[in-house]
Amino acid sequence: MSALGDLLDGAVREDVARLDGASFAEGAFGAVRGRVSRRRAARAAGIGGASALGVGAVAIGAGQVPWGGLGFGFAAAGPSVVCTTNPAAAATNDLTISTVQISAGDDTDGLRSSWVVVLGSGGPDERPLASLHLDGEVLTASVVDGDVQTVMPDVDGLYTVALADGSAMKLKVSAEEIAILSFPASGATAAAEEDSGSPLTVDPPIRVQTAPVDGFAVLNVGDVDWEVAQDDVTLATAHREGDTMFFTFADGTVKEYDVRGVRRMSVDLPNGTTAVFKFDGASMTYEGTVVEQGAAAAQAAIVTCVTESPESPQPTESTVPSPSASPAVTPSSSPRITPSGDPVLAGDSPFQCGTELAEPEHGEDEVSIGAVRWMSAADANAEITGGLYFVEGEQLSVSGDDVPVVAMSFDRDLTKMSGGTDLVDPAEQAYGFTAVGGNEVPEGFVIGAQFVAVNDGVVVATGSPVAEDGYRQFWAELETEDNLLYLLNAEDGLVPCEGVSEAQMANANFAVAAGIKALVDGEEIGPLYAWKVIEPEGE
Amino acid sequence: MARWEPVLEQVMRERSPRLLAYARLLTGDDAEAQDVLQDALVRAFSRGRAFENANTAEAYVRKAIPSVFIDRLRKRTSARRAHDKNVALGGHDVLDADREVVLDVRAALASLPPQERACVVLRFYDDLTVPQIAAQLGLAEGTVKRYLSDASGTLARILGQDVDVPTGATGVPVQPAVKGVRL
Repeated sequence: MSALGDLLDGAVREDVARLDGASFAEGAFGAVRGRVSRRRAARAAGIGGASALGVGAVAIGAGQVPWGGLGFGFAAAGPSVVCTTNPAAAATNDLTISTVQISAGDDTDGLRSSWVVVLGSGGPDERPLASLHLDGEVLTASVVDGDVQTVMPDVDGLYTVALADGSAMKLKVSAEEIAILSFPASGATAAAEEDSGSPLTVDPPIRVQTAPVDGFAVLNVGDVDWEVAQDDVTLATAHREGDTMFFTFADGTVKEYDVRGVRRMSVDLPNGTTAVFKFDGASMTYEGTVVEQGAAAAQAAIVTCVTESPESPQPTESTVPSPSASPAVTPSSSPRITPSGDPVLAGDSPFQCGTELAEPEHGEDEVSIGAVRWMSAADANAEITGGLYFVEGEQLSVSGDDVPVVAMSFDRDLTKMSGGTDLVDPAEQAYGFTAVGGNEVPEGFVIGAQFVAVNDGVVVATGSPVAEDGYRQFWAELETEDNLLYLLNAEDGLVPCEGVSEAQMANANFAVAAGIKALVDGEEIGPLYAWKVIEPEGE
Repeated sequence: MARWEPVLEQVMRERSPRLLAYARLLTGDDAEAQDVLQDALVRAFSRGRAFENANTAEAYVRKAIPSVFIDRLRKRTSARRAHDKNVALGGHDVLDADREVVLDVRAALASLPPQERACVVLRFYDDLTVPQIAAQLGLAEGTVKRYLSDASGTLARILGQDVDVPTGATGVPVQPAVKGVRL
């Protein structure tokens, strides 16, 4: 060892003699064990890495659903439609409907939760306002460009946090829930009345993210009722029950959609436009837009979606009629919902139905697909449960003969940041961790991968990685930083796209889609994709 | 109890002084060292590894510490980084002005910007090569060389010794004649 090395070694020895490991273990073991447990669970579900922290923002409890107060109201002129509480709000393309993301407190800490309040619709333009930390009844608010405030609840149990510009926002906060009740920031067009008891949305929206400090807990997704209307005509009511979204149209037609992960739903409207909804089960966000189709769409399209949750009043400025008052829509003009694969949306994402893959294999510097090996489903199960991962066998849904296992690589520089891993298109994933607050800058990554099926170069089935009876696709991140994706259940681990016949599926090949996007110094990279069509075993 | 829990507990009880001391080389602060170690423990044990014993686990945790330290730095704002830089620069001035005050190698380390400090620790304490440091910290080799070069100048000025930082894979010649350093 060098002289400097000797000096450093001496410093270490001195500290070793001074430090008490037992005290450290006593004080920190519970917290570390809890964080490890949750991350392992999240990784087992295919949600890897630091995304476990982001998973805290995954779900909203039934009793805490703030959707009613979100006051979806599409209001726009022209082909683009936005949802906002204020119909007079300026039109914005592809506005993300804001939501309130909730995380329960760390179960090792009891009533502690942390959030970051962000103003903006995502991407480089978003602006963090404050980070919040609740410990018991005490709310500590670190305001960007402001100070650190210790806030106690008022007589109504509400908290008031002063913002840097002198205004204030009023919050309803508990260990499991946060709702912004008033937010008078300049330029915002909040319409909800203060003290209405409902969270409000503004344009740009306020988002609340789980701060990456206290871990996460996944809560059950509650039921949500919506109304979808256009030109004062109710087109459908949408009702969410667990993982299924039911659309009921005026003619009585009912469509069901599995909304786990990311799903796109498109509604062909009578005037020739198509209302497109994207639901992201991971971030609990909806996006709504209207796509112009034909001359009829030149007319101003006004689509309004509001919640019908009884515990949440409809926004006062909504122009949407109640369902009972809505005119009937004749069957001939009733909307038609088609699942993913909408041709308007089909882009270059190999995760999407209908995407034409220009070549059988494609990769980028930031994401690539490596070797493919085949193994029996039983062996795959054994490999995962036999020491590779701490996963119990009953957590996996294993079926079929031989299944493919694919190696994937992601940019190591980007994935050194905090980020998330999920079995869905990274384009549809929110940054599970956006390091914003008083002393941090937005930075993070998301990666996604999924087995799909490809027939004649076109994606004809997408993945259904997780079900109640176990994981059908499994992502293993190895200590070598390599990643493996297992297709454990070849029988129902994929869902055919609408209109795809059994014969087309029979002639399809498995393929793997992978992607990455990252936010570095406020600038977004990607999403970048890789894919690989997998030849049948033995060929 | 999950299989990893006893190993985690053993590492935390028996190995944490060494790990904390190592983290403290990087952080220069006990409290932050504890935070870094906790994050490193979480990172090492969350990846599903089946650690057979505490030795293996400790090695993984130790390796994770510099990466965690750097990651934490990356999450800081420019303002914070500027603050750190100013503090570091200020420290240089003070130390240059009154070298006699500098009696501890920790003070010399603390005067370095965090990235340089991490490179120095990995280079001189862990005996890693430049490519190994670059790989571990996720930096370009040229960046590591620059950090080490800058650090060597600072350390030489503070410690009163020449810190020769080779850019090759072997050899770590550091000249003696350290002034006022406790061993």
